[in-house]
Formats: sequence, structure tokens, C-alpha cells
Amino acid sequence: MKLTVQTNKSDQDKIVEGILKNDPQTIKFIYREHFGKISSMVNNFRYISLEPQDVFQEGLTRAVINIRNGTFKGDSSFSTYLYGICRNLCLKEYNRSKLLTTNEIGDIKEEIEDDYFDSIQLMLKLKDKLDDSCKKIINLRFGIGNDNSNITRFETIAAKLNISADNARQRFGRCFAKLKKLVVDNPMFNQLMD
Amino acid sequence: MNDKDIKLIEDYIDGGLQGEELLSFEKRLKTDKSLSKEYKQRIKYAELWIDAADYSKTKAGITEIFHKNEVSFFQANRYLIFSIAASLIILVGVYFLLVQDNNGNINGVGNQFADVQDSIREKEKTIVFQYDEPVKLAVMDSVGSKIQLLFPINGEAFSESEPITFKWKSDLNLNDTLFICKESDRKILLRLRINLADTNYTIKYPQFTQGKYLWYISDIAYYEKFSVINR
Repeated sequence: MKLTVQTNKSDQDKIVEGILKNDPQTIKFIYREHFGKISSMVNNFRYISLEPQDVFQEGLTRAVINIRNGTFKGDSSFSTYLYGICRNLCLKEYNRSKLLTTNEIGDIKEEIEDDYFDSIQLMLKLKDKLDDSCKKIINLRFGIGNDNSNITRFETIAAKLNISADNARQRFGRCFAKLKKLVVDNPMFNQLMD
Repeated sequence: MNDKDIKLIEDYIDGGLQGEELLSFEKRLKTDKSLSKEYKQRIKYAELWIDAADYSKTKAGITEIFHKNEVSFFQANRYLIFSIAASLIILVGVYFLLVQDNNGNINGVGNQFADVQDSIREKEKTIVFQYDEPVKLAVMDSVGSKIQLLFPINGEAFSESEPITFKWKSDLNLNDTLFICKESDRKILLRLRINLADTNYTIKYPQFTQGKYLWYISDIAYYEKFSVINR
């Protein structure tokens, strides 16, 4: 599949560098340079109800995360990559309306593998079903907000919550069990986790 | 999966197992499918939870930048936007002023700003009231002097339905405008297109309400008065 959006090498290096540095100017630059073309592409899909702004923000979020975790190898230009992600989002939405042919679906799978982001969005939905105290203790245990570590020891959690370490462990255990049950009860999630 | 094994998994993740306990746990991970599955799930869910948090944070950051970008567009162009808005307000204000003036008629019956066809005036010597366009307010002839107002003068009184013939004297043969205003606020009620050589103009159905009025021709230096009374 040929995509017509181009970015020169110098721009691309700056974009990747800016994203890795969390530079807001880079995001603004990407918006200025690419939103128009992607907006036109989204508007050309007749049977989807997605807004160009939403598709662009979602696509850019995925591109940024993929650059950070090294999934984006730079084989294609950043423009093409971002355009492809956004187009893929539209095609998936289009597919949901049962209007896409099997061949087109195959084409999407080759272009960008995005089951990972489907899993993330499902996890966010399940997370929303947990109460705030559970979200808090799981966030603490999984090191959300920590700079270097993805784990927080129960003794540290206990000190933050002004409870005992055993109490912290028990609370986490109960909340994690709730999360597991939500996952097990969700057929879509099980499919993605296999 | 029992609570003891769950505690073991958490201790292992924390690096809290040592010596024989650690070796035993790692051996079980290789042989105990249930424990192995539980451990892998624990790791997988944690990764996904962390990635989901990172995703949310990243998207929120991008959305915020877009929002600021949109706000900064308005900030950067605020003078232009204010200028356009101010121009529109002025235009709307001028439009309403003109329309109000145009509708400021007597008895509330349409606009009496007459722009009478020459043929009608010559034949009937009578004004025919008709609605006009505001833009014509700007089209007024200016004659200056050498015009003498003859009638009505000095507050001559007319009844409400009585025709009024305005008379003047002039040596000029030019088109001009006869103005009629209310004395109290000097608001122009009528603009009548006349020819100075005609020397008079009759309004058959004046529709003036009771009150005092002024009349004059174009921008001559004086006016005359008449009044409308109920007889």
C-alpha cells in the first residue's frame, strides 16, 4: 500500500528526538504538519463516526508510545507511520460497521499490529470498574508515579497509607483478585491475552 | 491458587526470597503449571496496568498540548479577532441606526422617505410615499442659498388629515430635497425630492400626528414652522 505523506530525514530525526525528550514543540510541529492530511483522510471515510481530531490524537499517542518503546524502527517515514496508524484506526472502525472486505482486513494486519493498544484500552475499561481505593493500592504496588521502579514494596506502601505492611499486602491481594476476575469475565480480554 | 503461593509470588517479585526458599520457588515455577501460570499472569497484568497508565498520561499530555495550541491560536490572533468583532458590531449598529431612521415614520405607517419618480411629480404634483433604501440617505443634493420659504410659516396650523402644500421661491432649476422634522427632537420625518423651479409641493395625505414641525429645503440657513392640530 502506497501512502503519499512524506517527511524528510532531518525532520524525522528531530521528531523522534523531540518525542523521546517529551518536547511539546515537537507535538505542535507534528500537529501543524500532519493534521490537515490526516483530517482529510478521516473525512473521506463515509461510514464511520470518528472525528478527525480524535483519530489524530489517538494515532499520535500510539506513535509516541511506539517510538518510546522502540517498536518504531524508522523503516518508513514518521509521516507514513502516523498516517498508517490513523488510517488503521479508521479502517477498524469501518470494519466494525461490517462494510470492510476480508482482503482489506488482511492489509491492515500487515500494516500495523495494534492488538497491544486494544489490550491497553480494555485494561483501562476494567480499571474503571474498580473502586478508587483498589486503583490506588494497585497503582502504588505497580509503581505508577515512580521514577525508576515498577514495584513498590509493601513496607513503603504501608508507610504511605499509614497502615501495616500485612494490611497493605492483604488489601493489594483482594484488589488484584478483583482485577483478575474482571479479566476472566471478559471474553475479549482473554482473546487478546492468548 | 492459595494465599500462601500468592504471597510467595509477591515476595519473589519484591526480591524477598533468599537461599533455599528462593531455589525452591524457582524450581516450582518450572514444574508447577498452576504456579507458573499465576506468576505469568501477575507479571502480564502488571505490565499492562503500567502501560495503560503510561498510555493515559501520554494521551492526556498530547490532548493538553492540542488544547493549548487551539487556545494560543486565539491568543495570537486576538487583535485580529477583536478587530473583526468590533467591525461587525459597528456595521450592525450603523445598519440598525439607518433602519430605525428609515422606519421613524409618522403613525408608524412605513417609511415616508420618498424618492418620487419625476413623471409622477410633474403630473400630479403629489408625493407618493414609498419605502426606500438606507443607502439613499447619503444621496442628498445641496443647493445652498437663493431659496425663500413661503408657506407654511410662523407655525401655520393644519388638521391631521388636511393636505399641506409647501411653497417656496427660487431662481434655480435644480433638484433638491425638502426636509420635514419634528420640532422637539429635530428628527427628520420626511425627505421629499423636489425641483426648485416647481415652487410648491403638496402632500395629500400627510399622516402627521398632533405636534409642532419644522421644514426646510436642503441646507439653507433657516427653517419654517408649522403645526398639526386636532380639529
